[in-house]
Amino acid sequence: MRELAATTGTAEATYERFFDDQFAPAARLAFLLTGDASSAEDLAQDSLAQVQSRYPTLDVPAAYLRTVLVNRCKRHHRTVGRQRALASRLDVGDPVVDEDRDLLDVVDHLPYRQKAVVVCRYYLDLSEAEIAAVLGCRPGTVKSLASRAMANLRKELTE
Amino acid sequence: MNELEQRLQRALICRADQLSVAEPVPKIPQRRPHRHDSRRRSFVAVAAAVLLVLTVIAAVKVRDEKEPPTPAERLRQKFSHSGPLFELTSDGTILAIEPGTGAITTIRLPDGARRPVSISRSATGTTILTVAAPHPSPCVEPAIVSLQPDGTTSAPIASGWLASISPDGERVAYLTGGSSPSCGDRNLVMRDLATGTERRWRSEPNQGSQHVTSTFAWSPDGRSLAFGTYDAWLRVLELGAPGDTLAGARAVHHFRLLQQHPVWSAATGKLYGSDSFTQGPDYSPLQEIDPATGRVVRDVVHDNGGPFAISPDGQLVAYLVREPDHRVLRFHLRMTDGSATITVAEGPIVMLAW
Repeated sequence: MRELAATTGTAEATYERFFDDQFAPAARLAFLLTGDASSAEDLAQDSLAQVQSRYPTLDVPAAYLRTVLVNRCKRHHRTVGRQRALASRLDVGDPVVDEDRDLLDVVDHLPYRQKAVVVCRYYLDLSEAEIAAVLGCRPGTVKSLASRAMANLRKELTE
Repeated sequence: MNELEQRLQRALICRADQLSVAEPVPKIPQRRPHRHDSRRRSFVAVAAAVLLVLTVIAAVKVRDEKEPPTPAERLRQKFSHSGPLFELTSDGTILAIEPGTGAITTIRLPDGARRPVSISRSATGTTILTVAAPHPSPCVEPAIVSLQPDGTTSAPIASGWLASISPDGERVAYLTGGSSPSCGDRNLVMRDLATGTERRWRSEPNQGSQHVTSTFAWSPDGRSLAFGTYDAWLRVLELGAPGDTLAGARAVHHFRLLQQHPVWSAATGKLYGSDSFTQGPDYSPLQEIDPATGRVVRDVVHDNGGPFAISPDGQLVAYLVREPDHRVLRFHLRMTDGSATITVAEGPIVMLAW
């Protein structure tokens, strides 16, 4: 009985540390994927809660968290829509320089999977294999999505 | 990484850093309502309802399978739901028993008041006492007073013996004249308490058929009076019938000895009469009498008891039993169908009113 209690206590303490470490990055990732500042922390919390139930069995909890969060953001992206995301971002105040704002506007209008690939690659600095794991697709698909995303960006920026 | 990719990386980092992340509260995240939660809640509600119904069914089954209450338990339950029972003791004290709580209130008339010798209660709760003169004598009539809720008595309503209040509490029947034939004629008087009007029936003391020996029992509709006469008959007088004597009273049932006070249940319409202190193997002190035919419907109490009182719902009879040495009185309660009897107390009780 004591052993079980001690084990449980250790697991909880470890998860608390994980939560502290991952909450802010997760919220920022959600913000980038959805553009919705008001929902970013909620999405991060929900994803972390989902991770908590499986936390003791996970080899790389951070990777699982990324996968959960990207999928949650995809659902949020579908349901909330971009209007709210845009309004939310205006509330936050976007300090990026004008030329980068144009770039991010184009990113915001990319299809979600292309946007997720861009964010994972250039913000999280993940490899194609890691992005494939997050999106649940093959690395070749990631490469294709990245290629199309960059083509779209170039096209929109030159017009 | 080309220039576009570098710009992209810089812009994403810059935007992400602008999100000021608050300290999460609570630290350990609580699960937020899920979009399927309403469906889950509905399922839980239905499951809870089904569980409740099953529990109720199980409880009803358990109750049905439980042992039915014994006759004595049924009697106690009925007694606890009956109205207050008044006892008049030999020292003139009135005890009001509240069956529901078991509380007993002692009503003592104020110092100087005359001692009560009989008590009668109507179905509406009006209580009438006859109180003895300060220096009782056979030819001095007691006063008839009303017992107030605060334990005091009203001014005398009339003078007479054996006063009985009607079920509606509006009329009182009593006897005038002395307790002995030598004191003169006896008359049955019916007095309207509101108007003070009276109607009298003359009693011939020398004729046993008209010599009233008991209190009067009012029929539930207040149109008839039952009483015992010296010739051991239980008689019923129709109050609407013409005639100025008691000779017109109908002889209903003949007992072997003098009557105790008959009781007529206002709730059930059953008439009960009793022999007076009979002894022997086949005595039956209290019997239910059919008022129309005079036939004995059933023996209610076989003990050597009396006086009696019937509960307001007509289901219980309270009575006193005298031990063979006539010194100890036991107060019994019995179902009028004879299914159970319990002994409640002992005491010098001389009259009951319920």
